[in-house]
This record gives sequence, structure tokens and C-alpha cells, in this order.
Amino acid sequence: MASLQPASFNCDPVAAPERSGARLTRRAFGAGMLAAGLTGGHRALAADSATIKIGTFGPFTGPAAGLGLEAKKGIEFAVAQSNAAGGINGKKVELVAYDDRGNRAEAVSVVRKMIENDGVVAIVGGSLSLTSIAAAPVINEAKIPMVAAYSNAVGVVKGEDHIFRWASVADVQGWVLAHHAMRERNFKTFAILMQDEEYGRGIVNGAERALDELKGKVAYKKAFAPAEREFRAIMTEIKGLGVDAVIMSGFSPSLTSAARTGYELELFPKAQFYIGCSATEINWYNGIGSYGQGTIAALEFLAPTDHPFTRQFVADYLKATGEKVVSHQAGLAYDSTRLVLDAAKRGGASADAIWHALGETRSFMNLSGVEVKYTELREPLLPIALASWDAAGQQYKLVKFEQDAALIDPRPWYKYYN
Amino acid sequence: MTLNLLLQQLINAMELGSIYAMIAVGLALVYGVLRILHVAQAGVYAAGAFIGLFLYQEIGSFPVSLVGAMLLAGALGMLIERFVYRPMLPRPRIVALIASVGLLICFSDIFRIIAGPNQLAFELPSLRGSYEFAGLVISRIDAVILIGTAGIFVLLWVLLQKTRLGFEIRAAAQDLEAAAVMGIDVRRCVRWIFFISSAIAAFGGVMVGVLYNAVYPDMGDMIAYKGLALIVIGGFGSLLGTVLASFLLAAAETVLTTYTAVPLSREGVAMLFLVLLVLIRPQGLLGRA
Repeated sequence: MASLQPASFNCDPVAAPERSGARLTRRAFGAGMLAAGLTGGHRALAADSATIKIGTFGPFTGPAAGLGLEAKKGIEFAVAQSNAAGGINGKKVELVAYDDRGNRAEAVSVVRKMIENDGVVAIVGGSLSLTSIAAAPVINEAKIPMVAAYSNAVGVVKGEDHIFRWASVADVQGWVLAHHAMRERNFKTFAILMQDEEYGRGIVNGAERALDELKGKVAYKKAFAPAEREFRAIMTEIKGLGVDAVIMSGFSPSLTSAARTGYELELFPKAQFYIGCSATEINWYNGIGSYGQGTIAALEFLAPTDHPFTRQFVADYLKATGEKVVSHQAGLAYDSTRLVLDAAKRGGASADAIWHALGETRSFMNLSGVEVKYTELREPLLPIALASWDAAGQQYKLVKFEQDAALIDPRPWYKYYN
Repeated sequence: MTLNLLLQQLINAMELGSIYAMIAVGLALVYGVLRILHVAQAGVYAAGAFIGLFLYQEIGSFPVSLVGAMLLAGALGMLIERFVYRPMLPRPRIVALIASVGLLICFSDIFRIIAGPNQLAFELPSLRGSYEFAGLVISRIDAVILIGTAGIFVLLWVLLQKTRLGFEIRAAAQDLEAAAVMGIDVRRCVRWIFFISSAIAAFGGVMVGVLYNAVYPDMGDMIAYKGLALIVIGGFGSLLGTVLASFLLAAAETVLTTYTAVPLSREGVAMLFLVLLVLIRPQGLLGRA
């Protein structure tokens, strides 16, 4: 097993959040002796037990189960690696996982359970944007740090000071895609397809604002419901318009269907197809078949790259899980777990200590071997890997890592979301 | 819009309508005789897709897999009739409807447990590619769906209009008790109806699996709601009305989701269509008042 050593970090103690919570934890520990079984006591005891309990929640059953189970796989792998390397400061890490079925109310219920009954000191992975947004205030109020891994909507993190993210803001992906299309490919006219929910709207918001700024022309725009698979009529219409590129947001089943239909109707590759990070969900790999050649995706990491850490990770992951593909959810959840465990190692095993250590994190190396800066908004300046789908090899090939802060900074997008 | 584009969209709508019709006709058959809203038909449709994929992976012959899936799904439909609906027939029909919804949810979970939560590929290289004539493009799989649907409906028409079994089914659909009094084995009729409707649904499931290269546990969900809308729009139990409704709905969806800014999903369009029609013509397109 690879150790966590390659995960480098750089702390800035000046910018650390106020350490008021440490006192509270000790007080709670004292009170916990008198009130064993009560919530606060449970949390305090967790800090001093032989294990460090971290929680995760996500859709493990239901229509979005594929996403949640992939994330869980990445988290479990990170925990297993940590324990195999001796744990965190001598303590084993224990993972508590609950199924939220992709349901907002269920998400709130299970995070309460893992905080109040299980005494987790941190939560990793998060869930879908919609469920993470629902659960975030509860987690924040309980002062348990969470690193959301695959929730791209601004609202998950904004205003919740215990919630961190290890993913890009959806708008950034659209912004980067549109800049690539216009500046590097000189495309002028576009069709935009938007999945009508938080994530899909974010990508399209970013793309539209970039096209507006760079004087691109949107010849066609259409919203569609999540899980839509029928794009024949829309692609026929787009083909008739003769656009240079199609920018689409959505989950992988929709992306896959749209790509296949576009190729069948001979719209692609004449027009360039651009998609967001769901391009590395398992359903894309399972469903795209021989289609999709040259599709450009905005990804939050790329595995494999030539970086030794990534190569080692891919080999170990394959050995441990039998999976050749490191999915979007698994990769981000793996990194978010490493980030939490790294914070526990630096700061201590209590919720408060982890929160402070996370707040002090100024950079962290991601799965692709890129050093990622962390902002004061608890958002990473995650480089976007623009990658092109190689249908013959059934994998993405790196076009470039977009690291220009003006393109990948999540902060300017906060103003669009209340 | 050019004539060419209009014709292309017409082909797209017909292909979509064919898929809807394959599901809705089975529902209309069951409703016509038993007055049960057989929502679990959507589960049978998904089961057909999974069985077809499994057989194709094992045997390697698509025609054999397709026929195998239709036969096995037909048998599954008969089992549902025998062990779920028949014991419930003396009770109010709402009981059977609730059981049917429960069955659909169970199907979805069973598929997830057996095959996993992600979509599985149903890649058929022989049906890849497209035909092009006069500037119109039609993919091979679309052509197979259109021809297959037409073939199935011709066979169904022959069965219902030209055979003894068809006569019995039509009699049972008019009045189940009277048909029994006249010496028709209505249980046999009902068994055959479930077999036929389930086999047609399996044909649809396999074809949709190949069309989208995706077989997945909840693939029946969308079809369940739409199927219900279609049998109401068509006129409860009217086969011709249901087929007509399928193609009209597909055309409406094609226009509304492509050329208007109406922020409705396809399901939303179907339900809007349903509400409007019920207000104007409560008996449906070809139903009796």
C-alpha cells in the first residue's frame, strides 16, 4: 500500500480560524463523564478513543446509487491506506457510512444520526449537491467539519463555516470550457444544453458568461430534465444550425446518450462536443461504446497521469478494488478523505482540531499530482484537467491542466448565489 | 424549418412513438380485460432488457436473445397475473394498483442487487451506423425499432381479429362475466393477455437497451408514468387509441422540448397532455363516453 506521504501541505498559521472550540471540547469531555450517553459527551469521548470515527453519507441505493457507491469506494480505499500505514498518530480510522437515498430529508436524518449517535469527528464525501445543501446547516450547527467531495453547487459551502469542498464550483467548469472553445479553438457559434438542476445550471452559467464576455454567439439553448436520455430531436435541430461547438451540462447517462446520438446523426465530430466533470462517472465508460471520440471534458483530476503518486495510486486502486477506472466520485472522495485525515494528523483527532487544521490548509496535492491552493472560502483553486476522450483506448487523454487563477477561482461565482 | 428537417423530426417522433406504443399497448390490453392499471408492466419491460442482455452475453446471437427475452418476460407476466393480481381481483381495484406499484419498486431493487446500480452496456455492433437517403439520416437501430414495432402490431392485429384466442380476448374485454357464462375460458384469456403484453414490453426493453446502449435498474420508472398517461389519453382499454396517443405524444414532445422554451420535462409534457385531454374529452381519444 502507498503511504499518505506524497500528500504534501503547506500551512499558514496566521490565517487559522480562532481556536475557541478546543476549550469547548475539553469542557465537553468533563461534562461527558457526568452525562455519558448524551450527545456532547459522545463527541468528546470520540476524540480520546483508540479510533478516529469519520462519517460519510450518500446515495447507496436508489437511482443515484452508482454515484454514492463510487464515492464510498474512494473513501474506503483512503481509510484502508491510512490504517495500513499505521493510522493517524497511532489511532485507527473507522468509517461510518449511511445511505441517504439521494433524498434531502434522509440526508438530514443520517447526518444527525452519525453526529449524535456515532460521534463522528468529521464527515467526508458529502453527497449530491441537493442533499449536501440540505445537510450542511445541520453539520455546521453541530460544528463538525465536512469536506464535500462531489457537490459542485456553491450553496453547499457558502455561509457554512464548517463545510469545505474538494471539487470545483460548477460554474468554473463552464467558464473554462467556453474559454478553451473561444480562445484556443476560435469557435464562434454555440449550442448549449443544460441539465435543469443546481449542478447543470452552474456549468451553463459559467459558459454563458464566458461566451458573453468573449463575444461568442449562442445559437441554441435548451434545458432538459435530469436523467433525460432522448436527444434525437434536439441534436437534429442543432445539426441544422451548423454551430461550431455544443456545450452540455448533465450527469453521465444524459451526456452518454447525447454524445451517441450526436455521432449517429453526424453532428459530431464536425461540431466539437464539450462536457462537464460527470464525464468520468462510471456510466460514461459503460455507455459510450465506440462513440464520443474527441469529446472534451472539464475534469477535476485525471488518472492516470505521469506523476509517480498518481501511477502508484492507480496501481494500488486496481489491486484493491479491481477497478481500472477511477471515477469522478471515487477520485474526489479519495482526495477529500486524505485531506481530512491529513488535518487530523496535523491538528489532532477532535472535530474542533480537524476543523482548525482544515482551515489552516493552504495547499494540498491532488490525485493527479498537482499542488492545489486552498482559499479562505474553504474552496480549492482546483486545476481543471481539460481532457479529450479517446474512444479506441476508452480513456481520457490530457489536453492541458488549466491552472490560470483567473479561470479556476471559485470566489467570483459566489455573488450569483444567495 | 426546411422540409428536410421537418421529415427528420417526423422520423425521430415516430421512433419515439414506437417505443411508447410498445409499452402502452400491453397496459391497454390488461386494462381492457381486468380494469387493472398494471404499472408493474414497466418492471417487466426492464426485466426484458436485463434478460435480453444476459442472453446476448451468454449466447452471442441477438435474434435468439430477443426472442428468449420475450418468452421469459411473457412467463414472468403470467406469474404476476397468477400470484399477484388473481388473488386481488375480488378486492377493490385500488388494491391491485398499490400492489402493482410495490412490485415495480421491488423489481427495480432486485435488478440493482443483482446487476449493480450503474448502467450496463448493450452494444450491438451490427446495429451501429445509419442509413442516409435524400439528406435524411436514420440509424440502423431506429430502423429496426420502427420495422419491429410495425411487425408486432400487425401480428397483434391478426391475433386479435383472425384467431379464436383473439375472439375470446375481445369478448372478455367487453364483459368478463358474460364471456365466462358463454363458455369462454377467461382465465386462459387473461394468462395469454399477460404473456402477450409482457413479451411486447420485453421487445421494447431490449430495443431501448440497445438504442441507448444502457440497461439499468430504474429504466422502467419513466415508462411507468408515461404508460399510464397514454392509456388514459388513448381511451381506457382502446388499443388503437393507445397507439395513436403514443405517436401524438411523441410528436408533441418533439416539438415542445426542441422548439419551445416550455420548461417541462418529457414526463411533464405527457401529464400536461393528459390533463388537457381529460378536461376536453374525458373518455380519451378513442374511448367510449
